Amino acid sequence: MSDEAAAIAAAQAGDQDAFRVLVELHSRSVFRLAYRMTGNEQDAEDVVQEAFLRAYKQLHRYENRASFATWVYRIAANYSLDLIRSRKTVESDTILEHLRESGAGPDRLYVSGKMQETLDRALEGLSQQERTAFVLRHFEGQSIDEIGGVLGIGNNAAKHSIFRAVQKLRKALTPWASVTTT
Amino acid sequence: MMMTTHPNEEEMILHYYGEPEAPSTIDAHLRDCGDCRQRFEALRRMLESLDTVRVPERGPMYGAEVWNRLRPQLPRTAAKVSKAPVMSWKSWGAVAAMLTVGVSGYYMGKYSNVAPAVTPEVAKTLASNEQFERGRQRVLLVALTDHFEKSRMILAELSNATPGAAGGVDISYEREEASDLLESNRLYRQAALQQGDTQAATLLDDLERMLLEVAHTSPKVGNDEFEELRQRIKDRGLAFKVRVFTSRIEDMGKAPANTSKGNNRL
Ligand SMILES: [Zn+2]
Repeated sequence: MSDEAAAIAAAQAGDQDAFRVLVELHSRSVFRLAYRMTGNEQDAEDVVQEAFLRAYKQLHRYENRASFATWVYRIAANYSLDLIRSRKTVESDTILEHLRESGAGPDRLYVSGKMQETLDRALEGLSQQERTAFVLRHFEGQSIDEIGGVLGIGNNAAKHSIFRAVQKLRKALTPWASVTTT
Repeated sequence: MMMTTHPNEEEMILHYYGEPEAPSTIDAHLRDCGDCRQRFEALRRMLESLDTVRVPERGPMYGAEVWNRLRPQLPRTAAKVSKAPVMSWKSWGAVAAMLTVGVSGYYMGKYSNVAPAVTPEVAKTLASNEQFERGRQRVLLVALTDHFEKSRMILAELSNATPGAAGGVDISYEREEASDLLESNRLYRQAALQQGDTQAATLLDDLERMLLEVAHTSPKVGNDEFEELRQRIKDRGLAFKVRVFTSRIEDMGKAPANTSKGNNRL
C-alpha cells in the first residue's frame, strides 16, 4: 500500500491527521487548478478550502478507481464552476471587443505588460465547461477521457469543449501569439 | 506515406495534446506539407503563449496553511476527539507566521487591553470566524507547547551528555535541532514583542541566543568547550524557565474554550 493509499484508508476510518497528509500533498496543485479556473487569487483560495472540506465530508464515497488527485480535482473544478456561475460571466464577444478597443498593437501590449491581462481575458471568454475542460487538458495534462470523468460528461462532449475553447482562444490570441514566443 | 487530406484544426489539436485519437499519419503529413506545418506552428505558438499565464506563488508551507485553516472546520467524527496533532513542528513556523497576532494574544491574555496590531490582511484571513478562532487557539496552544518542549529537550540533552573518554562530544543532533527551532523561535519572539509581553519576549530572546549558540558550535566539540557550553546553559537556568512557561501555557489550555476573542482567556 502506498503512503497515499494508507493515508486515505486511515482518513476514511476517521483519522484527521491522515487527512492532513492528503491536504499537504495536493493543496498546491488544487490551488493551481483553482486559480486557472477562476482567474482570481481569493476565489482560488476559497476553492481550495471548500474542495478539501467537501472531500473530507464525502471521503466515505471515495473509491480507489480514480486517483485521489483526480477525485479532489473534480470536486475543486465543480466548485469553481459554481463560483464562476454565481458571478457575472464575460462573453467572448466582449473580450474581442476589448482587444479591439484597447487599440494597442501587439508590441505595445507586450511591452506594457498587458500580455497577462490579455491572456486572462482570453480565458475568461470561455464558457465554464470549456474552461474546465481546457484547463485540465492544457495545464493539468489530463486526457480527454479523464476530463469527461471529472466533468461527468461523455468523451465527445469533453472533446468538443476543448475544440471550442481552442478556437475561441485562437481568435482572441492569435494576433499576439507570435510576440510572446519569439 | 502522405495523408491525402489536410488535417483540420480539431485533428491538429488532438495531435498537439498527444491524444490517441489523433490521426497517426499527421506527423508525416506535417513533414511534407508546408501549409499545414505553418498552421500547426501557429496553433502551437498560440497554445504555448498561454503558458505565460502566471499563477501566484504559494510558499513551501502552503499545505500546512491550508490544513490549519481547514482543521477547525472539519466535522468531528463520532469516535475521535482529535488527539494532540502529530504535525511536524516545522509546520508551526508557518502557523506562527500566519497568525503572529494570535500567538501573543493567546498566551498573553493579561494584555487583553492592548489592541492587537492586526494588519488588514491578517484580519481578512481571520475573518472573525468563531469556529476558526477556536481552532486557531488550539493550534497555537499546541504550537507553543511543542516549541518550548523541543527547546527544553535540547537543553536537557546537552546538560546530560557525557564527554567521551577520547575527548570530544558529538552534538550534531542537538545542533541541527537547534538551528531548526531558531526560525519559529524568532517568530514567537516577534509576536511577544509586538504584544508588549516583555516576560515572554525575554525568555524567547534568551532561548534564541542559546539556540543560536548551539547551532553555531561545531558538531564535534572538545571536552573543555563542551563543559563551558553546558555551564552556560546551566547558569542561565533556561531549561527550568522554559518548563515553568510551558506549564503556564498548559494550564491555560485546560480552560474552557472561549468563543469570543482569544485575548480574554486569563
Ligand atoms: Zn497539408
